[in-house]
Amino acid sequence: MSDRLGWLRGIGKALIVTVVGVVFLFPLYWIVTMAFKPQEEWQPIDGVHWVPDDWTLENFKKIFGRATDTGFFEAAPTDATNAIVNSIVAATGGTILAMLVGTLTAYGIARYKAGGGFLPFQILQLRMFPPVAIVIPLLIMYAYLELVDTYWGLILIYGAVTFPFVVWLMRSFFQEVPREIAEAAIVDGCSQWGALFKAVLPQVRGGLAATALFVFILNWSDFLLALVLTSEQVETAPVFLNGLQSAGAGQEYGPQAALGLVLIIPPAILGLAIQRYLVRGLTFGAVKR
Amino acid sequence: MAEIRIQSLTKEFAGGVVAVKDLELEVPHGSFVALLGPSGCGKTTTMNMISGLERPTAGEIYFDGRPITRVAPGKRNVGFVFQNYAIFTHMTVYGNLAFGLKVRKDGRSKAERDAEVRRVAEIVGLSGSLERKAGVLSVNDMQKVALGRSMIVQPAIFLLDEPFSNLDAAFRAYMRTELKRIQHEMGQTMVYVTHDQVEAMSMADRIAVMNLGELQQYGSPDDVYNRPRNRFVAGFVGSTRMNFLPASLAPALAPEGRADKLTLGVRPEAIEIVAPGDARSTLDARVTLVEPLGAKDVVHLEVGGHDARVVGAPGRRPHVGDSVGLSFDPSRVHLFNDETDLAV
Repeated sequence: MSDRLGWLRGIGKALIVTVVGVVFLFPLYWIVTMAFKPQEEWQPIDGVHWVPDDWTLENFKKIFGRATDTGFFEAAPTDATNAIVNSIVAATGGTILAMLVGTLTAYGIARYKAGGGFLPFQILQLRMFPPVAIVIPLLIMYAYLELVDTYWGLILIYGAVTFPFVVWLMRSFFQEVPREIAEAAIVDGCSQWGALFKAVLPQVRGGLAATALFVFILNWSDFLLALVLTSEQVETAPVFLNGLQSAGAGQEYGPQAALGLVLIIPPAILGLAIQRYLVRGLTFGAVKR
Repeated sequence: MAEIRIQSLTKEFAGGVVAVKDLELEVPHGSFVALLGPSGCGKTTTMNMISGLERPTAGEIYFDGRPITRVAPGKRNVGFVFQNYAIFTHMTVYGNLAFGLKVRKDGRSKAERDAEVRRVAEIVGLSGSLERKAGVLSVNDMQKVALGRSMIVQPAIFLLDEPFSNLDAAFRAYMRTELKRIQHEMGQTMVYVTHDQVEAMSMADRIAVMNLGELQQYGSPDDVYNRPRNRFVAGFVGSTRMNFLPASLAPALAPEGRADKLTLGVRPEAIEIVAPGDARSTLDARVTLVEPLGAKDVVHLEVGGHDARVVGAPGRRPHVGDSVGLSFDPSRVHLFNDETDLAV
């Protein structure tokens, strides 16, 4: 009897896993297939096409300005290359800035309790209101500073917005490193900086990699800030994606899906590149030993 | 090689905790000094101030007569071995050993450095694992790396903070002997922090016993063991605790008008168990527990309502409940004034 119960339980578990899997993977499936459907299928009049009947690269050609068949309803061909480059520059720049400042801040807090016990919370408070609340004042400020629609403007705000995450994540990684590691390096002749860079940071490589990837994805997928703070010069890929609409077709789901698929590539490459640090990085720091 | 002089050194932490109070200590050139005391007695703080990791609130430290209190740790030419090794797990054993030489930039060529790394690896017994990642080593080997890494810069002063307390018993005993040998061969000035009095007794030339941030006694192991200056030292040093019994001076011996309360201290190994009626017996006692340890027995006794312990060679082993007499050598008895805790 218990055997039978165990068998049933196994089936139940498999069922739950399958359902959860479908719920999470279906959107990905939908994007992938949509990207390869011709317009008649992503905007069908004859019911849902679960699998493309007629695979095509038309959507990709379109977002890279090489559309051959500009249909009656369609807008002029566009090119997403610029937007993707802008996104890469802004997200990478913002990540580097946040990592640089945030890691040093986190080390100061973790090792020397810099700023007192309340500082980490004050930093986290920066994240406790929706970005939409600050975006208009920010636009006005940026207008004065002539930062609207510039790389520096985006990099600065991306760095500032993700800085609290870096501080909080890196702080817990630093707390895992015994203070004697830095002290040993100092006694051996290192300066404080030397001890941090030669002895402590290498110990938290996994944490650095995981934090950087996390922050990059946040910056990469930002829509709101880029929408408000940029126009044509440094328009980022998510904003560009949103602009893929036409009077005739409305939302151009096909090209949007194609661009979405392309936009998965950079974080995926990053993730693969630092994979060996990730598994450790994502759990390391989470548990106090 | 150097000598250390510590002058009225005080460390007060934020919140008013005084970790070290008015410490005076001299570590002669080439000697092995142990800082001994229970946890929280200020021994590690003292060590951190000698190395420069901690800045004293008051007082001055001199290396060879040169004040170094305000000199950066890396410029003091000290080697520091930490209790938890603090080795760089992201590097190989070789990288760890070479670290100090690299960051000091003393103008040595790469080949000279390499030779030095190999020489030290030989001394600490790591020649076979130079290319291994330090993070995968056994605890024992990690401690060897830590030792070698501090040794390689040829520090004037070698500081060790309970370096062997995480090692297994056999390896600890081995490392003690090794360390003592290295110290002797190199004539190295060493300061060794420990709470283990056996470790201090067996290795040190001189022992500084500390308690609650204050130096209790500073002397040779023999001094500290046989001539404790106060009751704390008497009780802390010795593998089986010294027996303390309340006592008072016979009126005939007491100076006029003084009847100080005293405590009598006798080491467990200075007492002999004799038959109850024996002429040498000065105290009657009852056996409460016998612990056979092989080479010796520890016999727990009850003496007039107080617990006492006797360590003796096994042989005529008494039974629990036996009434026995105790005899002790008057020259090996210590007396402590109850008011000051000082030896009289």
